[in-house]
Formats: sequence, C-alpha cells, structure tokens
Amino acid sequence: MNKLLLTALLLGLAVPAAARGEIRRGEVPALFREANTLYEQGDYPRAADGYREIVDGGWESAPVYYNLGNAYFKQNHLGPAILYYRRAQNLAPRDPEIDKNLEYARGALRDDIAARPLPRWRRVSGTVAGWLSLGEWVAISAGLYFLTFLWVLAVILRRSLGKVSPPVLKTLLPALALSAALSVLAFSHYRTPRAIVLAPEVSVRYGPQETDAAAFNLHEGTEVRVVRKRNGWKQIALPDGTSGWLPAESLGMI
Amino acid sequence: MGRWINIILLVFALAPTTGAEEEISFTASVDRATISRLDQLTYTLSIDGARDARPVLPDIPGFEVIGSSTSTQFSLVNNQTRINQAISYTLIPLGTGEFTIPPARLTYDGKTYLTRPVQVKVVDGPAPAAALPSSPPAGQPATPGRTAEPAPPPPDAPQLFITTGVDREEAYVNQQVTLAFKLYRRLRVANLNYSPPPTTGFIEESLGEEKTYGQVRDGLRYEVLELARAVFPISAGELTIGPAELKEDILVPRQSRRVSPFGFDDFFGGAFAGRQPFVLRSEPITLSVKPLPRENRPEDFRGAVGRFDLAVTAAPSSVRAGEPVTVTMTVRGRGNLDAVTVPTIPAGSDFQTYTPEVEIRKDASGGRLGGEKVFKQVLIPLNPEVREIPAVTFSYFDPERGEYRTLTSSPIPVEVAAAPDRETLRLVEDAVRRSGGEEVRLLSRDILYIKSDPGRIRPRGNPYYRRPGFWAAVLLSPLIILAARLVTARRERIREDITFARRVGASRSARKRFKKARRLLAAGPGEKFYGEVHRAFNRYLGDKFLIPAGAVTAELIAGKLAAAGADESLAGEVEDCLAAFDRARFSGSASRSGEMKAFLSRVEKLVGKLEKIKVR
Repeated sequence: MNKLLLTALLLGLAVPAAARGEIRRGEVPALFREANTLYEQGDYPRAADGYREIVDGGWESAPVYYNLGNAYFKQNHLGPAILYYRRAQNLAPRDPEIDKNLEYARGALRDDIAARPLPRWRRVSGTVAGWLSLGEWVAISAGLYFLTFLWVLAVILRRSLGKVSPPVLKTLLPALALSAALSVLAFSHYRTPRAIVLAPEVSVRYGPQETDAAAFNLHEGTEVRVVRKRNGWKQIALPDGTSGWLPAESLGMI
Repeated sequence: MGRWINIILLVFALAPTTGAEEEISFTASVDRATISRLDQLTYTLSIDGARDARPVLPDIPGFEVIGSSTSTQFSLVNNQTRINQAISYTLIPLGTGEFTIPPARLTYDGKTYLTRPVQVKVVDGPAPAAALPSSPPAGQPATPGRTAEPAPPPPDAPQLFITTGVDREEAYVNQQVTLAFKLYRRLRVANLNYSPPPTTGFIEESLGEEKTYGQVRDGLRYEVLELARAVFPISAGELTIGPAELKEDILVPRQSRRVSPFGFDDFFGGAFAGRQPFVLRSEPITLSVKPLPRENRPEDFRGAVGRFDLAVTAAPSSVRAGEPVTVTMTVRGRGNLDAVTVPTIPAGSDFQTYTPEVEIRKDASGGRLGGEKVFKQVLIPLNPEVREIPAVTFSYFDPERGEYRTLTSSPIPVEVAAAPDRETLRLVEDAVRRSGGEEVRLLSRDILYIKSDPGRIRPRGNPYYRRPGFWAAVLLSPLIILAARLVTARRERIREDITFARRVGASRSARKRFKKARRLLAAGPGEKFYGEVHRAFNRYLGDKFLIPAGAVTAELIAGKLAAAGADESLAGEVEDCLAAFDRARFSGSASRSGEMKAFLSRVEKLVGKLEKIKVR
C-alpha cells in the first residue's frame, strides 16, 4: 500500500511538464479556494490534489506551494512537504510563515548531516542572495540597466543635461554593477540543482547501478545537491562532503 | 592465516564500525604473500577513522616502490560519517628470498600508530598454480572444476558459497530481526565486494565488526566470515529482504604444491597466476511482520519496541522560582533507540518546559542492538508552591511478551523559593508577551495555517527573465543609443560645419524650389517658372561646389567637375542646361507647359546625377 502511494506520488511529480497548459490563469484562484476548503475540512489528500492540479496545469505561486507543503505535511509525507516549502521559499524568500513551517518540518528529519564549514564569502554571499528571490534580483538589475539606458539616451538627445550627467552616471553605474554581480550570485544560489529525497529510505551507492555497493542510507526529506545524471541515476552531494548515486525517481527537484 | 585476515580487513573496508567515538585503525596488508621475481606486489595501508592522514612509508628492503594510488570511502553509520582511506603502493622485487616489510607509521592527532610488519617471499620462476573453479549459476554455490588438490571429499562439494539467515521469521513492527550473512570458502579470494541485501521497509543497523572462524560442514573445513546486521521492520505485512550479493575475485594458483592436513592453507601459500571475477547471490528472505496491538495501548506510547528501564534524576534540588531544573531521564535497554521518544512529564502549568537535549549511545552486545538514550529536559518552576517534579512515565511494547508496559518513576522533591523580584522571571523563548496582560505560553507546536490568498500567479518554469522579449529589450538598448548618437553627431556637424551644412542642404533646398516651380507650372507664366528653376539650379550648384551662387558659370563648374573626377559629358549637360535657361528666359520661346515640364524633369535628373559626385 505504502509502495503504491509512493509510486503515485513520484509519478505525479514527474508528470507536470507533460500535463501543462490545461488551465487558464483566470481559473487558478477558484481552484485554489476549492483546495483551501478541502484543507479546512481536513481532507488533506484531496486538498493536495487540488493544489497539484494548479501546479500541473503550468502555474505557480508561493502560497500554492506553501499550502501544498502543508497538505503533504498533514499526511505525514515529509519529503514532498519539504520539497514544496522549498519551492515556495525560492519564490518568496522573506515569508516568515514559509520559513517557520520549513524549519518545523525539518525538525522531523531522520538524517542529521553535519555541514562542512563553508568559506566565509560563500556564507555571506548565500545569505545576501537569499534576501531576494531570483526574479527580484533580476528585476532590480534590469531596472537599473534600463534607467541607465534612458539616462544616456536623454543626455545624447538633450545636450543641456550633459552637465549633470557625470554625477548621475557615477551613481547609476556602480549600482548597476553591484546589482548585476548580486544577480549572478543569486543565480548560482538559486539555480544550483537541488533536490529532496522523497523515498522513505534510499541507499546511496558508489555507482549508478543497483549492483554498486551502498555507501550509506538517506531518508525522506533530506536536501541534497545534484552533481550529475546518468541512466536514470543522479549523483548527489551532501553538505558534509560525502557523495554518491541515487535512482533519479527517489528525488524531487526543487 | 594472518595474511588473509589482512586481506579481509582490507577488502571489508565497507563494513562499518560501531564505536561512537572516533577510533583509528591503521593496518598494512599485501595482496600476496609469495610472489615471483617477475611479479608486482601491492602493499596497502588502510586507515579507518582519520581524515587527511598521511602515513610514512618505511624503507622496504628488497623492493622498489614504483607507484601508489589512494582511495577514500565514506560511510554514514549511526549518524556519524566514517572515513576509510586506503593507499596502495606497487612494489617490484629486487631479488629473491624472504623479506619483511617493516611497520609503517602514522601520526594523527598527536598519537603515533604502527602497523604490523608484513612477511613476503619472493621466488624464482613461476609461482604455484591450480585449476579454476567453474562458475555456477547465481544463487548456487560455486563448485570447482578440476583441481590439482588430491581428490577432496566429496568431489562436488562447493568451495565457495554464501548464506543469509534471520533469527526469526515473525516479528512485530520495530522489533529487531538479526540478519546474518555468512561466506563459506575453501578457496582463496580477494577484492571481496559485499552488497548487503536491499532492506526497503526496514531500518538497518550494524551489529559490530565481522567475525571469521573455521567451521566443519559436510566433513569439510570452511573458513567462515560472518557479518551481522540488525533490521527493524517499519510497517506490518509480508516484507522481503532482498538477496545479498558478493562479488569477488578467485585467485587462481599457478601450480600445485604441498598439501597440508587442512587441505587448503598451504595450497594457497604460493603466488597466483590470475584472478577470475565471480558473483554469488543468496536467496531472498520473507518476513511476516505483525502490527502492534491496538488494545491496551497506553496513551503515552510513541512507538518504542524492546525492553527498557527508566532512570530519572533532577538537579539542582533547590532553586528559586524562574530558575531552571534539569531533569535527566535515561532510557536504557534493548531495542531500536531511534524509536524511543522523550518520556512524558505531566508538568502542567506549574512549569515552563523546553525541548529536551538528546544523547544516544548504542551498543550491540550479544547480537541485540540497544544502549541508552538520555534526555535532558529543562523545567522552570513558575511559582514557589511547587514541591516536586512529578512522576515521569514511559511506555513501550515488549515483543517477547506481546504486551505494552509503562514505566513510572517516583516524583522527585524540589524546594522552590520565591523569585527575588517579580518581574525578573527568566523566561521564555516561546512565549509571546501581551501588552500589560499575562504571558501567552506555547502549548504545542504545529505548522502554521494555509494561506487564503493565491498570491501572484505566474507560469511555471517560465519566469520573465527567461523569455526572449526580455533579452531582446536588453540587447536592443545599446543599439538605440548608438543610433541616437549617430543622428545627433550628424546634426551637430550640420550646425557647426557650414561647408558640410551647405553640401548636405544643397539638394534639399533644390528639391524645395523644384516643388515651387511645379506649382508655378500649373499657374502659367513661363518667365516666373524659368526664374525659379534657374535660381534653384544655380543655388544648388553654388552650395554643392561651395561658390557664391552669383559666381556660377559653366566653365567654373566644368573645372570643379573635372577636379572631382566626373565624366566630361556631365559638364556638357550642365553647360547645356545653363544655356537653355538663358535662351528660355530671354527668348520666351518655350512657354508651352509640355516643354516646361520636360525641362523641369531634365534639370531634376541632372541634379540627381550631380548628387552622386563626391566633392572634396
């Protein structure tokens, strides 16, 4: 029974790309409210299906992912719950409710992996990049970029602006450079392929085959970094520096 | 014997160690004890439990080191990572005889570790050999083919096989089942690579180091290597423990030598001609797992299965209200400690409680996994009426008796004095203060509630910064700036460079005047028309060749055209045209509208041709 459920869950996670585009944007709020009603009635499985319909239909938003995470958490599916909280966090990095629930869900994790200390600049850059979502970082950079562009255009067309131009550019250009650099940092922060273990327990092996020796086991909900893929297997790395291979279907990409 | 225990130690690097503390093992081994003068020897230093350790290789008499390789393996055992580092040196013998490789040394964390010396014999000519065992199908023991050994009894007895077994076939959820893997062999093997059976649906724990011993089976003496693991089923039903798998290389001896009374020991004393890879598989095992009974389940039961004791202490025994008392609850016994949760303290509203600190110490004595789990819970008595820490209860399921049991400690008396100052109760990380009211205490924890607003809906996996339109705008901006710059530069030049402005403006103003002339054409009087066209043409020539309009003559223009390298016929046309003006204006002969039209278009064409001439 458990296996069936897990298979359904995993299949469901793999399918959305194929099932995309069946829902129009205008239908999303109604579907969302419907799923909320089911959640309020305590029907978590159907509520989860409702939110998933939105996601599979090609739409996303932080509240959709957050509520979906809640619906899975209430069913004791730690893996998908953490997966969707993380997706919500990527869209809305400053939402305290997402952080709280993610932290609470992580409290139930079975794997306790001691992270290897990162170099200082990596920690700082990770923190700074996490202040805003990737979309927000790019928006700031693009905004400054177009502002600079419009200013330069104005100076070219109205020569009278030439006198005030240098101080304005002296402000705009460094701001643009800084925000562009931060956007690149944010890009590497958000676009590093990360995944959550969805299987209750899975052996991490020395190679991408069932016949390769198992190095250690991971449990549902643990976050890993995906290093590469091969024949339906993924090589993952943990914060403590260990690494190994897992069947791709035991992971959900964030 | 010692030689191949070394090999086992080396190849069973995967077998995890159970010690919670970091213990370092440092061992040396060789792949063969006897080699031919022409062979290579692999000498391996294996370091278990140390990170980035650098052993010192001794001077090895009689050998030369020609290369080395390092392999590192990580394993996660009992939530601890364990590192095994193996450094293999390739040695070639410099002569024949018996050699001793002296101990290698490792200094790590201020301690020095030494390996045992290793004996190696180098012989002249080929080393001993024997026939290969044949490869039986998977799941069946390996049986050798022809062998140089004098007829071992019985002739088809397997030389190499593995078994897996469990100590019980029926268990409760979370009850320990011991899974024993045994390798029986009468052959010399190397590169053992053991894949434990897949135990999906179980939690698995190691039960210590592997054991090796001799055993007589069917009248034959086997060397047995046993590896035990504890597995705990996590759900009820029929669960299968998949087949274990063992890959190994069978060492094929070179030639037959003396045969010892044990049949194989000396037989393998020599060097080997080659290795044959080989895979063995055991049968899967099916377990019937019973759910924990529902009846009589205590309210505070949280899933612990086994047999446990509970000990509770509290310190200090005398505090002021608002000061912490640490209650130490130790659950000790046999069972899966991971499933043991914190015992219940009915603290009520007299105490502020905190999340306990948990320490877990596992051991595996007598093949049963167990140990102790220590919970240190901080309680803060909130008022001086508190007299005791209430009795602590812990419930577990005893699978041997098939019933639930609840352990209850006796209450621990504490003296609580009044707090020195009313407002300095040292509280409370989870509490939220209401302005002017009483503190709101957290009663339990759960996730925060769902959101009612769907937020900003966007297409999945297609953010704006990945759309082509966005990047087109980004790339187009510099082009627009470039175009604007070019236009303004031209404008500036026209303003500042009169010559350039005259030249650029020449054809434009000519076109304007031609337009005016065309209007005059409709109006009628020939003179005015010719006057306008003439002015336009003269002005154009003046601007084009930078001479005052009044000074334009056919000769001057012909000279300028020749200087610009234009065709001579063009100068002729200009001359004709100028002469035609004079004729028309003074004779008034060509005043019919058809002729005037033809004349205008002739002049316009000529201006078009002159435009193509570049004047420096």
